[in-house]
Amino acid sequence: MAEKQYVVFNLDGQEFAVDINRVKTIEKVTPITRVPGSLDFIMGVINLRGEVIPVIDMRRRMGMKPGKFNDESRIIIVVVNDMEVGMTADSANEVINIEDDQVENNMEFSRNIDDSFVEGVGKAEKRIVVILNLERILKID
Amino acid sequence: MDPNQFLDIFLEESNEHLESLNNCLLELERNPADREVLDEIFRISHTIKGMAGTMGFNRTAELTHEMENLLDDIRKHKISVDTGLVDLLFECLDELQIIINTIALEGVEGDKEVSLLINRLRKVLNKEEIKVETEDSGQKNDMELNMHESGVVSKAKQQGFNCFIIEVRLDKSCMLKSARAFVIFNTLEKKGEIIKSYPSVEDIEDERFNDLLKLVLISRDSMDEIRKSLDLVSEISDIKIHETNIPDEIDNINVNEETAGVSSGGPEDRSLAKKSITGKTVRVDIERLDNLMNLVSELIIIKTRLEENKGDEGSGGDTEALEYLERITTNLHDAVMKVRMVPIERVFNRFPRMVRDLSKDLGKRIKLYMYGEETEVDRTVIDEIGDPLIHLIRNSIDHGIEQVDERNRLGKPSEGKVTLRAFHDGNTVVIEVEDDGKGIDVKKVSNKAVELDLYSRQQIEQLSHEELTNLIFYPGFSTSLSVSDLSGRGVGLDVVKTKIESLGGMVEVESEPDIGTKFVIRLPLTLAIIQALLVSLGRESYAIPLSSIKEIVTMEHTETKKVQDREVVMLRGELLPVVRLDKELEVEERSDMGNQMTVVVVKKGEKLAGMVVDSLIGQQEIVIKALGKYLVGIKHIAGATILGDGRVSLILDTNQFF
Repeated sequence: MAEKQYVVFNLDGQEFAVDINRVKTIEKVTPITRVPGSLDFIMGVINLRGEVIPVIDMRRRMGMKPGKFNDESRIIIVVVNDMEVGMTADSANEVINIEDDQVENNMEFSRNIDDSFVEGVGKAEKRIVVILNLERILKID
Repeated sequence: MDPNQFLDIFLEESNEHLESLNNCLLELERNPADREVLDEIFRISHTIKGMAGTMGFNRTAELTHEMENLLDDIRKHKISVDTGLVDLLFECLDELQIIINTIALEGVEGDKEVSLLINRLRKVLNKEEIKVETEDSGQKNDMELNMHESGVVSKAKQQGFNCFIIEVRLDKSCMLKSARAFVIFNTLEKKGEIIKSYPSVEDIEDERFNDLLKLVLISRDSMDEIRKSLDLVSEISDIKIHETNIPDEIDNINVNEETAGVSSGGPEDRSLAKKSITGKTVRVDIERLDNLMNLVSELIIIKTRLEENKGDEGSGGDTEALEYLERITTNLHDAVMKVRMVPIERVFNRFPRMVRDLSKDLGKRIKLYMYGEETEVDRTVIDEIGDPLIHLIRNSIDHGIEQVDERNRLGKPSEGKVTLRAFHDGNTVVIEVEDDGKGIDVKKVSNKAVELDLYSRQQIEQLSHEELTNLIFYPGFSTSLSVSDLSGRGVGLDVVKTKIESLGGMVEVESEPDIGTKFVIRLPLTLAIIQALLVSLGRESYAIPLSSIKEIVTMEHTETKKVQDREVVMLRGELLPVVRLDKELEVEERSDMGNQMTVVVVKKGEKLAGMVVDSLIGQQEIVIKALGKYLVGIKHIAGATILGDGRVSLILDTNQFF
């Protein structure tokens, strides 16, 4: 049975997942510089070992209430269309395996999440995680 | 051996060779009698043939083989060079380029048919061959000395040297003729200087000779001594040496220019020179260089941080070590920057062909003049500047230069002139594209501007000639003014402007009716490192490129006035528009600066504007980092940099505030 690995992270008490192949690294939060005139969900840019990487405020993007960074907070660096972009997370410390047939793509959400951000819902050992569509979240058309 | 391992090298070298082939063909067209160019073309075709053969690209090998045959006959004067022939060779070049591109994409030659071209090449070959008798007589004349060589010989004689013509016949059973020839050369070179050999060094290296070697040697030793040293070399069947008597013989020596070009030092000398040049360069992947550059900039950052901490402990030893570190980083930085510099020739190279083809297509007569090809610019600039320049040159040829009869009517020389010029000006590189065509029709431009609602009729009349001409950079301008097969590609000069500005440069146009148009592009020398002023706004800090700052003044808030809804101050009797950076950049938490305000006066061309900041942090050398593709097109920001404390600071694009 084919299965994929996903990085699981937490936002406002909910679990989300991204395909591990798209994750470059997971970083602790470093100072973020605001970029005036950028899209509202872009928090700013960070210095990642000499490179300037934009960071997305995921709580804001997902329509959640603003949170504060703490020791658990992370920035997940993902690669989309050859671009490196950071996504904030309340915590991120798990990698899980989900079998392909345990991912459902057509699901209605009662939660307040924009459906188009969701690629599917994966089940693994009684847990349910929301697998995100990175292109949509980054608003890349 | 896995050929794929060498594919990259093959592709890169092929492209290089095709580029020089292109240049040589252009030169040949201008100057059909130039033997050196012909030899070079032959050499290139030969090299490509060899490489393609090794890689198993048979079509390429076949085509270049036929080209070689044709070129060989041109060299032997069996065929003369005319436009048709050059066109045919150009077609071959295009074909080769297509094949190479296909190989680059797919790894195989593709099924592009080359037989048609090959047939045409053969046709040219055969037609001419009938007229020409076989030539075998070449051998005898091959020891003729050209003017330069006989000059050397007679000078050597005056200084008491002897000059010998040596004929060495190798043993029939000799297996490694090249190696044996090499030993002979070595032996003789210990005795004196070989000024000429037949066959040429190249041919000997490739074993393209029979048994006979002829050499001209200048030496202080006597004939016997030389014979003695040659006797020690084995596998030689016969040695003949006789002395040349140049002063008497000089009249007999055929100093025909043409033979001088072909069989003399020409080809071999140049191939030797070529070798030494290529020996000094190394191909480096641009990514590796960038990586090196990143490491250097991190080194600079850490150095800055160390300097900031110095005050805390500061023993003498530390300071010394720090100074040493500083010296090293500065040197390293300079070195890396230099590695990234390449002559702008790389971009310019493709233009002569383009101009030739375009003017042929349009039935115009145009000559391209290029100056300052050796001007060095950063690699990042080179990669980006090609397209805008192509656009401007096309523009000049298509819309600038008039048809021949029109030019005649105006009393201009019938051959139009496009000039491409590059030079350094302080910290910038200037590239100019100038034509002697009809100039920009200011009336048409003004009508269009009104049509596009950029200005009202009254406003247009207030604009200067210069301002009007520069309107052509607005979107929607050039295309509609000038639709044709050529430039009507749906892109206008606004694209050029945007591109140049995204590189941190600017472009302006000067134009006189019936005299011509000149585009002036100004680019930063490097896009990587600049001097900048760091300023603070609230709790944020921004960098302003020093090159755009004119001065810094402090003023009272009460000095500002409102003129037509814009805030201005008087600076030495001139009105200076004021930009409230905190508002433009939506800075929160503004610190209260009392009644004083610090104004950074920035310039854009002749225009000035005052940017109000909270305070100045200081001047610093900063490494420019792109914001990345994801954040492209952020209006006021030109890029980012990393400060000594590791934070990111944004670089303001001051041009956007005017």
